[in-house]
Amino acid sequence: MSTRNYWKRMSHNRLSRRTLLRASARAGVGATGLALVGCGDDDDDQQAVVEAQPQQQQEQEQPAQQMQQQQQQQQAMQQEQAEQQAEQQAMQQEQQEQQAEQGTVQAIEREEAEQDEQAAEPEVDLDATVRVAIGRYTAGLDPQRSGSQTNYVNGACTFDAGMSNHPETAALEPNLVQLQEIVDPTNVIFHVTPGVMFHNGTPYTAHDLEFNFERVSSAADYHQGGETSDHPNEWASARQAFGTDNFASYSVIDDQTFAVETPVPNASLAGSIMSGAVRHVSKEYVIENGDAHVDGVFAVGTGPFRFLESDPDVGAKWTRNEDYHKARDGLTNPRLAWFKDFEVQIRPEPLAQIAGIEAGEIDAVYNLPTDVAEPYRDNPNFKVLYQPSSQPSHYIMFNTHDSVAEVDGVPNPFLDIRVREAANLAINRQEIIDGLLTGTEGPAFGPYRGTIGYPGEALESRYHGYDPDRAKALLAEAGYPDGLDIDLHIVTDFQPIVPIMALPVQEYLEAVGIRTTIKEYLSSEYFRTVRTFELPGMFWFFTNTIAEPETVIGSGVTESGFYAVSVYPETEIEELYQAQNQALDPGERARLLEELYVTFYDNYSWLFLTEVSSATITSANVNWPVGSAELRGEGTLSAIQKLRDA
Amino acid sequence: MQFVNLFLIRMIQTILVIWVVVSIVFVISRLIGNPETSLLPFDATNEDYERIREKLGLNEPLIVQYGIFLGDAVQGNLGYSYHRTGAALTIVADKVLGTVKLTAAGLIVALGLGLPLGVLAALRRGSPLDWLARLIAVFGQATPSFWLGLMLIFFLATKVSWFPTAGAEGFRSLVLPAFALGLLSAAGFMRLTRSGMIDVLSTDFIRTARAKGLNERTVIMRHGLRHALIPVMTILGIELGRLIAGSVIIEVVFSWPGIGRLMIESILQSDYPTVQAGLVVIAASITFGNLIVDMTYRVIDPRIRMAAL
Repeated sequence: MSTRNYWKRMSHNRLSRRTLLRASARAGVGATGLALVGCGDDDDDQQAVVEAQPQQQQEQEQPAQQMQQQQQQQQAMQQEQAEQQAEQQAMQQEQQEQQAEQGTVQAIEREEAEQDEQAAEPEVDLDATVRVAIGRYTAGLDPQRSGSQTNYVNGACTFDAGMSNHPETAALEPNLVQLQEIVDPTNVIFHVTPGVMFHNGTPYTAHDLEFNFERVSSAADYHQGGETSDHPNEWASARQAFGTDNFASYSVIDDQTFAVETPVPNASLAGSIMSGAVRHVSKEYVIENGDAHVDGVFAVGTGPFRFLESDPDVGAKWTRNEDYHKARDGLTNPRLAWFKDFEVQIRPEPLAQIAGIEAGEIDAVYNLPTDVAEPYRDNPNFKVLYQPSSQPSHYIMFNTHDSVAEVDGVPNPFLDIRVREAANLAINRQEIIDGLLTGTEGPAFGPYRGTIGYPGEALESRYHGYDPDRAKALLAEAGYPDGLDIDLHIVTDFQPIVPIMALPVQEYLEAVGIRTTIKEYLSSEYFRTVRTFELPGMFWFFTNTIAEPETVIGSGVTESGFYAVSVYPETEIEELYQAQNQALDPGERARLLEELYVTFYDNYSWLFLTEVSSATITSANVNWPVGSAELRGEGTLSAIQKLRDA
Repeated sequence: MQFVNLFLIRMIQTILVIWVVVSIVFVISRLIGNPETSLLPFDATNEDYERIREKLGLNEPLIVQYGIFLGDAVQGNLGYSYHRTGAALTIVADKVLGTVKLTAAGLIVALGLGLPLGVLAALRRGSPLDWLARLIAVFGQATPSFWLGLMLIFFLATKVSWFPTAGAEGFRSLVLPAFALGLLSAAGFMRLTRSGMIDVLSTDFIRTARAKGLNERTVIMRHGLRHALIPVMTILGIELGRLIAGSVIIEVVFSWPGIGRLMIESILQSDYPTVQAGLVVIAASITFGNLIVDMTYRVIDPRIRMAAL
């Protein structure tokens, strides 16, 4: 019997019982009343009442019997009083019965509510197998490959990062290492979390931490593989993502302690070097087996799942690491998994992924375009969940570099803040959100996603809004009464929404006089083109989901950033960037970051567009809880709960 | 001897076709993207770019790269994959079986549906069966295979759960992709068989066969169908190529591990060596398939054999 039928039947039962109770209570009251009336003197009185009218008629006919008549009247009054008393008693009895009935019904309802509650929280199946579909899973089991965009799933399942983030605040939390201990502004110490074990049974120590730093920063001594493991891309990515360029020196103090010295105070150090961009391998295992083995044969880490097997065309399998160092019911992911076995199935076509859920072959699919998930929103067989996409906040950068001081022989229009303001006022973000996106997104305010605490009130109160008339006036004031022509460069294969959203953006801009020509690129060309800073115009860009602000502002806001197309040396932006990065006090850093964000926003530094969501679809019997700052994805797989008989 | 000569000439033509295909792919793949940008992360430095270009030999002039590529190719070395582990040709070879299975199954569906329907439609010309067969043919030729694939998944895998929605585990997982792949070719075979049979059934030798008192089954199967199949054989090679090409999309829709899916993935990652190796294998399959069909054609049709002589 299906659960739904069970509860339907129970619902019917509840009504029947209630009705039955009410009926029996009323019957009881009636019976009691009849019993009261029918017992003792009252019984005779009642007969007298019934017979009174004929007797009174006789008294009228016979005045001599007046006294008797008065007596009879008194008796009648007494009878009436007795009847009233009986009625009162009956009413009291009825009230008592009703109260009793209500009490009983309430008790039953309480009991049923408890049952409902228990039923609403079906038991989590700790022995379940969870299957997730993803579009692509390329070869390479080395987590440093994972750090370079090839295999996030294996990286997050088999391996661990130095630290994790609080699910609600995104603040750093201990994982393989504890929070840093600041000895002085340029010296910090990291204590290894005791009791962490690799899947092969060896303990995680400060020597492993050091090994991983060295492996990604100057990996030559450790690259023993041939052509299979020395792709330079992985190491280049890891080195930079790891932030080890910030080290002046480092050393192992003992098995549990690792010390780092930086050239200048570095507030983002822990967030960078302990982030999930690089997962930690076992020094002993890698040296014993070689990088090629680690990359191509078997993966051994400390993560919440033990690797079993993989095929880049079919998928991969893991099983729960029963000795995982974090509790199942803890807040921070990853955790001791709520299910036993984990499978990833490769399904390049999103509709085939969703079909897999409907057919019961797949439990969850994440990071889907929202339009793909839209038809399933009201389907009871699915849960559709929205969250920030992997590029959650979209904006357009104005190229203000020295190399484009002039465009077509005239000064670069974006060096004038009025033109930048006009561009920002030209866009009706809410219309884009309601018409093109899911309606749940908000406007973009800067280089971060909204779920990690920004924008605050200070930014929200500055919202640029939509004012095309003011935009036209600003353009005219800036010397462009007839508008201007400029290129809008976009990447077409990175996020499907970009080329779609570019069209209304183009129309809004044109409506105020900023006539754009959309230049489309594949991502393989786009990111390199952006970095030349030589092409004039506007460049579509987006932020990432990493909580550490440095990962975006270090590349997109500061003047030396890889993708800092919009630079404004005349403002305080650079000064604030440097100051926040050296502010070791978290409160002070937060204040400086906010000042930086406000200054950046007030400067109309970018054309701030909107947030963009992605969708997760799970089957109805799957819970995938995450905190407000967490995203459903590789990092939270161990939080998935598969329910029994839901 | 003449036959051997002809075979050798066709072999040379086949190799030339493969060379042309590979050369075109070599040039086009280098025009549409730089592999280093897909290999490197966003924050890679210019030094990283230079280092990887040097390592991959991309700093050499295009003609030099081409010469190196051809020199390696004739030795069976088509380079190492940029994104997977191992030699590109080995990676592609690992996927050949998957694509062969799918293509063969698609061909079986195409012939299994197309030939009987064509014969029946010709024998009952103008009947409801003929109309139905022609309707199926029009539907098959007008329906994009990826859409048909998605519909098959929707109805037969999710609604009634007769088949798995994806993957390559067991016979059941082959049915839907084979049908989605083979329906288009089945329509072509059906139309050709039907028209061929109609033509043949009105010829003198069929009339003679009937006049001799042969039973109808022998007339149709032995004399009629045999002649009607000659044009079918002619397009078999073309259909084989179409099936292999069609498997690229079908493999993606049904998550079927084969060369097609590998190619799509490799193109998205600008993995030149794997793309080139995949195309060499596909081009070779199609041209050799055509070669075999051509040779077989000459064997079964004495008129063509005589003409070739």
